[in-house]
Amino acid sequence: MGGPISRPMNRVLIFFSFLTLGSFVQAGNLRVASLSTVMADLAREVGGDRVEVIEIVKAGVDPHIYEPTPGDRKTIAKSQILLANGLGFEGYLNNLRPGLEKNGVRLVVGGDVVKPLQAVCSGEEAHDHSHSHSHGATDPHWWHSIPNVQAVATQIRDAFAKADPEGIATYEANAKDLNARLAALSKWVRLQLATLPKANRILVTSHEALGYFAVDNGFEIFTVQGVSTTDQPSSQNVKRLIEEIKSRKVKAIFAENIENPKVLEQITNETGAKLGGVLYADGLGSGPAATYEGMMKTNVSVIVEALK
Amino acid sequence: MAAYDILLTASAPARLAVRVANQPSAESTGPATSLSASFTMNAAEPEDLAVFANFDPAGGNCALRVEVRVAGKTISDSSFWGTGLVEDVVAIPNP
Repeated sequence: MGGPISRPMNRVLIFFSFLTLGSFVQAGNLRVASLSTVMADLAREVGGDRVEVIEIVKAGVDPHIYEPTPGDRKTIAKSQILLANGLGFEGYLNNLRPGLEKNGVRLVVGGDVVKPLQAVCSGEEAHDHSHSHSHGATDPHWWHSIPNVQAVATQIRDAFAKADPEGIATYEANAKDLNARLAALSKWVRLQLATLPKANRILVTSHEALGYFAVDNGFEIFTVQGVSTTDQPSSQNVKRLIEEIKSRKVKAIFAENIENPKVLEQITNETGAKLGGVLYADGLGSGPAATYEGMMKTNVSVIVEALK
Repeated sequence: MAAYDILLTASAPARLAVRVANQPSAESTGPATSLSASFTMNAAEPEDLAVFANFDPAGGNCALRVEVRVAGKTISDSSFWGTGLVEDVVAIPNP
């Protein structure tokens, strides 16, 4: 009846209290699914402890050929927010939309708040057009421009604040801190690249993913493939690229973290340009490149070291 | 080619430096409020300038002014603020 609770019973009550509290914290978190490794990182930065970020597309996966599995669709359906790069990067996104509406999942598309860049295919008429992109297509790799990432961080802050108004102060403080760090990163990038003579600012890569970086930092870009890793390089395009590399005396060409660098190795053999290292083009990687800041620093360091 | 005259002016004594790709950098020998340097560069595509001013961090907010002149005519004039080490890049406009 109303007697004192025994010590063992007390422990059981405390144990269940913790379980209940744990469930409450779990249920209280904003559940965010991400099709973008970069946006997942931004979401973790902005959301802090209030947000649970589930990476649907993980680092090291080629996002150009990824298709959501039934399990991925279930995970997305259980989320409150879905993050996507947009600008055509996720070719399957329109197929997901009816499911998102049905389940009340809010879609946040990074590409909606950036100034899109038109893709310029190297060797335009030379490559195989059995792929899905068309010339004049938009380059979806917006995260290689830091101002774009700042805009998307703000977009994510606003989306989180709308979905979880109690967390507004947290989201605003975290986003402010992140934007200050991105501004510092931008200055770091400028200072590193200032050591490169302008004549050396030529990027030769597997596919056209670094267009935004090139525009921001005064680089010319030449690629084996087009804007997608599924674009097929033609022998004519490769031949033209080899001639360009020789005539411009390009010091180094770059592979990407999720691609087979065999074609690039062939080009280095024929041109004498060295393989400058591996760049993270389609999203984050592992180790130091597991965060956006780390990925940018890794890419810039590799570029400067190879081209100086 | 053209000679680009660079003048760094600091709001308080600081170690000043200006660097241009592939050229020896110009640095003050100690804390100074100004530094002049001249670099010969391709006039069609001048290099960026990396500028540095290392102020006493206890001195609060300080300013660094960077003027770029060609044949006595100012073609770029920018200022940077900060505490301690103030560093940035000045892009020289193409003619």
